[in-house]
Amino acid sequence: MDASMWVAKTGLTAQSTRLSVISNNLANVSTVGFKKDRAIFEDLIYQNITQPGGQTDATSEAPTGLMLGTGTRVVGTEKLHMQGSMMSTENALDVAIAGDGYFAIEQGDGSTAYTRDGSFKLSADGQMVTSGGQVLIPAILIPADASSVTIGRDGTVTAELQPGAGAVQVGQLEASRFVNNSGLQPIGRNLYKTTTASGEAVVGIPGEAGVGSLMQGTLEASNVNVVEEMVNMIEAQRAYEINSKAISAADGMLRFLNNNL
Amino acid sequence: MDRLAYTALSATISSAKQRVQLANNLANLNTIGFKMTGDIQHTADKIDGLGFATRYQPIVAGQEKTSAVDLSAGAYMSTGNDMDITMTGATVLGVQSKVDQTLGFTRRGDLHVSAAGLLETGDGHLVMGESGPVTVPLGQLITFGKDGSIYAQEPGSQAGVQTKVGELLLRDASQTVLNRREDGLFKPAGTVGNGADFASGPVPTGIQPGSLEGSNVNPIVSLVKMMDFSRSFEMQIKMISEINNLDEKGSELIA
Repeated sequence: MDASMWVAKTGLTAQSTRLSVISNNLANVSTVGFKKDRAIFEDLIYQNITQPGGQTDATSEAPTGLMLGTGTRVVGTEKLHMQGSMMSTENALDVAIAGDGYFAIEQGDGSTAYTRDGSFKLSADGQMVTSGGQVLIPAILIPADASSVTIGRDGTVTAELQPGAGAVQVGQLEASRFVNNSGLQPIGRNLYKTTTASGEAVVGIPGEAGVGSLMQGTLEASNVNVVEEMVNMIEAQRAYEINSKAISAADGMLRFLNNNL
Repeated sequence: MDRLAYTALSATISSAKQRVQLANNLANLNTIGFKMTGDIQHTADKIDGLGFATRYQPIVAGQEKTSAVDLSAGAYMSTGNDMDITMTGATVLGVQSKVDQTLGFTRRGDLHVSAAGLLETGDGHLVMGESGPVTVPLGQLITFGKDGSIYAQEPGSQAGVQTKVGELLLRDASQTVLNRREDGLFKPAGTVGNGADFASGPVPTGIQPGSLEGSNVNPIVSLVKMMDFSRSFEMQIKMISEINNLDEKGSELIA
């Protein structure tokens, strides 16, 4: 059938993928530590119809060629790890990373995952855990009789055990950096896993060697920009319509052909 | 049957290619750095034979030389991402194709660093410097200067302490006609095979970091052209069906 229909179809498929990426961004506009995605488009290979410089006869060459494109596709989505805005919560166990870095946590199966979501809680046995209940690496145990917990910019966790007796260090928070943040694989629940593209984690002390410093009583909001996503959505919708218009034009032509011959 | 039908048919066949091209432009409305392809040129080819010289059929000659790759600017989108660049004017960026490892040119500016420390475009071609693919020190903050210099900054070091680690291969194509390759990259027109470099034009090359260039496809123009194609297609079909009527009438009269 008509080749232009299939080319326009690739446009429809890619735009609808883009729309689902945008919807996911918008759905996570209030997710703590969420990083937005961007759909990456690529034009498909070109068909060589007339070779530029090909011989048209023994003595002359075609001055120009003809390369016909075959459409577009979404090659992948890229997480954009830009800093989200800071929300002050006044909660002692809410920690945001100002700058680069991820908290390492231990998953149920013993593997390590990484997160920017610093809304920590205490488990029944006094361990600092994520809102999903997973234990931080290295584990931090807050004694049951601690009256107040302070987390410093460099990740030192201190607690006051006896009122007026001064603070005692009970742990040290660490953060991990990656060569290529965009290469981290999101696995849901605000968690990321390392891949060969991201490189191995480089563990460091917050505030040193490129790791961002910590801010207690603060959470990092999602870095989704609603206005930007709305503009993207309008663009995706209109591009979808235009491509479906191309299909319906080809369809109209074929219908005319069938009706008249 | 009348030969006229074949003349009308040749017009529908040649316009099919134009519609594929148009659909490809429309499908790439959102492809970063996509440059649309201009109209296909036709030449009228005289069909020899008996009778008057009335049989001229359109033959696809190729893309109009100047518009095989239309370098006019696309929408400028500010992203705030240091690794996104827009090329100014007719500047094109040299990359090593992921398909055949030869030098090609692109306008895509959504760059990132691979785990091996190589600079890549969003569609996976390796970014070239003056002396081969660009490698950047791993784990450092990479920024670009407006002249295409690449700077790396040790994380945690004082802001502004940057080391120049390379330079992007930028060429001004204002005086050079570009053609498209199978993998979507550009090459200078008139070269045989892939991988040719060309001399930069008189306009200084430059990039604008922190922004991306969208596709330069104009949907309005494209939609109008599509309508045009639809209607001219219908006219050709109408022509063929009229000839059919004529032939039928002829058979009726004789029989």
